[in-house]
Amino acid sequence: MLISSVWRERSHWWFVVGLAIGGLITATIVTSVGVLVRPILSHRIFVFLLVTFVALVLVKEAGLIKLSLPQNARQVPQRVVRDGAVYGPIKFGIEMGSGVRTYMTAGLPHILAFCILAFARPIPALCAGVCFGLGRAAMTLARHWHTVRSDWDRALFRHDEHIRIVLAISILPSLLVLTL
Amino acid sequence: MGVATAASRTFRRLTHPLVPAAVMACGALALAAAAAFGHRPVLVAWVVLALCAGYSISGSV
Repeated sequence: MLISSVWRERSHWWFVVGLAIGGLITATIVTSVGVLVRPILSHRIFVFLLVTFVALVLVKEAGLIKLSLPQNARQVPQRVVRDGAVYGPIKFGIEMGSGVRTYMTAGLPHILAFCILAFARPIPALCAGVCFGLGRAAMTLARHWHTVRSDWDRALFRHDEHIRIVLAISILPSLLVLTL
Repeated sequence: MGVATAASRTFRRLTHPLVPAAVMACGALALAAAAAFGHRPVLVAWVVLALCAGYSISGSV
């Protein structure tokens, strides 16, 4: 779990800010790439690619296949957190929120990135970036606020598969609205 | 004392790892309902998609 110094006093809020900034940075980069790619491929091809990709990820989330998606699966180095009570957590959050150095245990962030690349206008893309960071923050804050953290860890271990399936199904209405 | 215990128990339930996922699922259901009635809340769709994507990999934190 999180390096404890990130959670001292009000540092966790700076970590959340960092996560949101990290998501914003990645969304900006992906949107910029999307501007270059969209003229090459038609909307129908993007939808076809998305449907194929989502089907693969859902099968993966159900545990039926093993699919390794591109990621920089590394931990954020400890020295980042030593940069003080404000900048340390912010930098740590940016690294995790942007996906520069993080473990992607699910394929949903890749679906989000593809959607931003293929369909997003600038403002919704930036909004999605911030919300991605806030989504990452939700679990860490829930653990932080839970009175008995070992209980929380056990609950996560017990329900991890359920959470993955619920979230994978929950993105389907969004994909429908975005591609229609 | 009893009130404090009840409050802390409620708070513990609210911070259960399933709760944010359930809230996001409710958002997705609302979105599906809106789409079924002919609405197209694009920004809400981005928010739900992004929150779900962010929360899905938080176990790695």
